[in-house]
Amino acid sequence: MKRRIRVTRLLLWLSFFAFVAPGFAGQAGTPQANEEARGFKIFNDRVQEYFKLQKDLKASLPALKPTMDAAQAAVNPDAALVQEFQKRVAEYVKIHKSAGATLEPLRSTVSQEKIRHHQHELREAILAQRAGAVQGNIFTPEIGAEFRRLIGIAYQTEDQHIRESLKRSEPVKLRFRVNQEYPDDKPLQSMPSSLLLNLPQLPPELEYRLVGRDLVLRDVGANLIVDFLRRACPR
Amino acid sequence: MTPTAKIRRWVFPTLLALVALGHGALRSVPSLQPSLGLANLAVFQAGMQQPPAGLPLRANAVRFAIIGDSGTGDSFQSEVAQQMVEARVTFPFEFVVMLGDNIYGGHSTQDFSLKFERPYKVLLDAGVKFYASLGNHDDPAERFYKPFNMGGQRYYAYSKGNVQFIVLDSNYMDPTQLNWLEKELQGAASPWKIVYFHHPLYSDGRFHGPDTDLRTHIEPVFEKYGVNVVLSGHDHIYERIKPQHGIYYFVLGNSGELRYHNLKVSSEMGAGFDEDRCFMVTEIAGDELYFRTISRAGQTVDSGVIPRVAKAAGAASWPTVRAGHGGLPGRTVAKAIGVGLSRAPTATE
Repeated sequence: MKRRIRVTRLLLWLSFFAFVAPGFAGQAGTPQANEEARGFKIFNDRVQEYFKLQKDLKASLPALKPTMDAAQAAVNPDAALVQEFQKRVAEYVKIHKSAGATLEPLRSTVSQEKIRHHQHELREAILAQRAGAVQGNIFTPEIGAEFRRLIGIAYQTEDQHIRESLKRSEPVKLRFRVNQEYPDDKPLQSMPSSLLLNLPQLPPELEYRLVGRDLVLRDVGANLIVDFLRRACPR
Repeated sequence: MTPTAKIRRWVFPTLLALVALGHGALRSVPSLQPSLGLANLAVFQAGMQQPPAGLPLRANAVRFAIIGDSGTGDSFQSEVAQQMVEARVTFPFEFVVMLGDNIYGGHSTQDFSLKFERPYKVLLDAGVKFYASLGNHDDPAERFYKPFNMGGQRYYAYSKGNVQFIVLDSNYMDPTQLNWLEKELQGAASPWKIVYFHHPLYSDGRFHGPDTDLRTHIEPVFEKYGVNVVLSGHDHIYERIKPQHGIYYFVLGNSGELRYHNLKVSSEMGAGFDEDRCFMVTEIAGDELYFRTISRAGQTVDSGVIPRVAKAAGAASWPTVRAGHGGLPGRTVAKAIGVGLSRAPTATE
C-alpha cells in the first residue's frame, strides 16, 4: 500500500514538473537545447520561405486573370460555373426589379415606419413571385462546390487575416431558410474583404453575408434570404 | 497509518499542484490576465462650466463631435448626450460624426426614438446634424433614415470647410466600395482628409482588436492619398493610437456601450480610457486639429493637437500629437499627468 502511495505521489510530482515547471523556468539554455533550438529555427525559416514563395505565386495569379480571353473563359469549367451563377442572380434581380416597380421608390425619410413598410412591401411582392424557391435555386451543388473552392483560395492566401476578421466581427448563430426575413434584432456579420474580393461580384440588390460558416445571399432592400450555401467556409 | 493521516499527507501536494496548474492556465489565457486598470487615471477636473481648454474656438474653424457605439437607449447613453449638450454651450460644434452601432437590437420606430431621437433631442432641435456610418448592429436600411444624413448610401462623402469626410461601410468592403474610395480620395482637394467607419484597423481592445484583413486592403489607399485621421468604433473603449504610416487612428466605441477594463497596453497606444463612456469634440483650424475626449462625468480623459502635414512633403518622420492630456497609466501616465495638469502642450508621444 505504502509503495503504491509513493509511486502515485512520484507520478504526481513528475506531471507537475513536466507541465507546469517549464512555464516558470523559462528558457533552458543548455548547449544541447540551444543546438536543438538552432536546428528548429533553420527548419522553421525554410518552412516560412516555402510559405512566402507559395504566397507570392498566389499573389501573382490575379494579375494573370485579365489576360485570360473570352474563349478561354468559355471553356474553363470554373468560369462557366461563375457565369451560370451570374445568370441565376440576374434572373432573381429581374424579379426584384419587377416587384420594386409596383412600389413607390424609397427616399430618405424621417419616418422609420416608412422604411420598414417599404422593406415589408418589397419582400411580400418578391415572395409572391418566388413562393416555391428552395435552397439550391441559385447555389446549385456545382455552383456551391465552385464557391467553396473560391473561398478556399482566399483562405489559402489570407487565412489568418480572414479568421481573425471573422472572429472579431461578432459571429452570429441563426436558424434560417430561403424566403425568410433576416431577423431584425440580429447583427449582420461583417464580410472579410479578402473573401469579397475572391467571390463573383453581385449587383447592388444583393449581398453576401456569413452566418457562422454558411454563406447567405441576402436581398438588401427587402432584407430577405434569397439562398444560402451550407459550410461554405472551411473549419 | 490511519486513513485520515494518509489523506492529510496528500492534501498539501495536491493543493500545490492545483494552484500551480491554475496559475499556468491563467497565464495562458490573455483575457484572464489582470487588467492594467485605469484607476490611477488622473483626470483634469475642468468641468464643462468653462470653455474646454485647448480648443481654440477660432473663426471659420470646423467644429464637430464624435460618438461611437452609442445606440443602447439606456441611461448611460442619455448621460453622455447630456454632456454633449453641456459641452456645446461653450464649444458650439455644428455636427456629430457617428462611428456605427447607432441602433442596437430591434429597429422599430420605438427603437429609433429610444436610441437616437430622445437622447439627442436637444442637439437635434438645435439644428445639429448627425452623419452616421453603419456598424454591424445597424440595419443597412438606416441609410434612408434622414436624421443620419447618409443620403440613401452605405458609403458616402461630404465636406465641411477645409475638411473632406469619407464615410465607409466596413461591414462590406467589396471591390465596388474599394474603387469608390480610391476615386473619392483621388478627387479630394481638401487639405484635411478624415475617414471614418465602424471596424478599427488598429485597436488594443481585448474583445475585438484590429481588423487586419480590412487594414490590408484600405490602409495602403489611405497612405497613398494622404488621409490624415481615421476614426472607428466597435471596441467599446477609447483609444488614441500613435501615428501609423503617417495616419492618426482613434477608436471611440464607448458612447453608449462600455467594456470595462478591456484595454491592453501596447507600443502602438498613445492614450486610452476604458472606465466609462465618452465622446470627443474636435476643432480643425487651419493646419491643426484640436481634440478633447470627455467622459460621461464631464472629465477630460485625453486631449491634444494634431498638425497637418501634406503627404507630398514626404516627411520621413511624421509629427506626433502634442498631447494636452493622456489617459493611460503605467508608461505614459506620468507624462500624461504632468502635461494634463500644466496644460502645456509640449510633450510628444
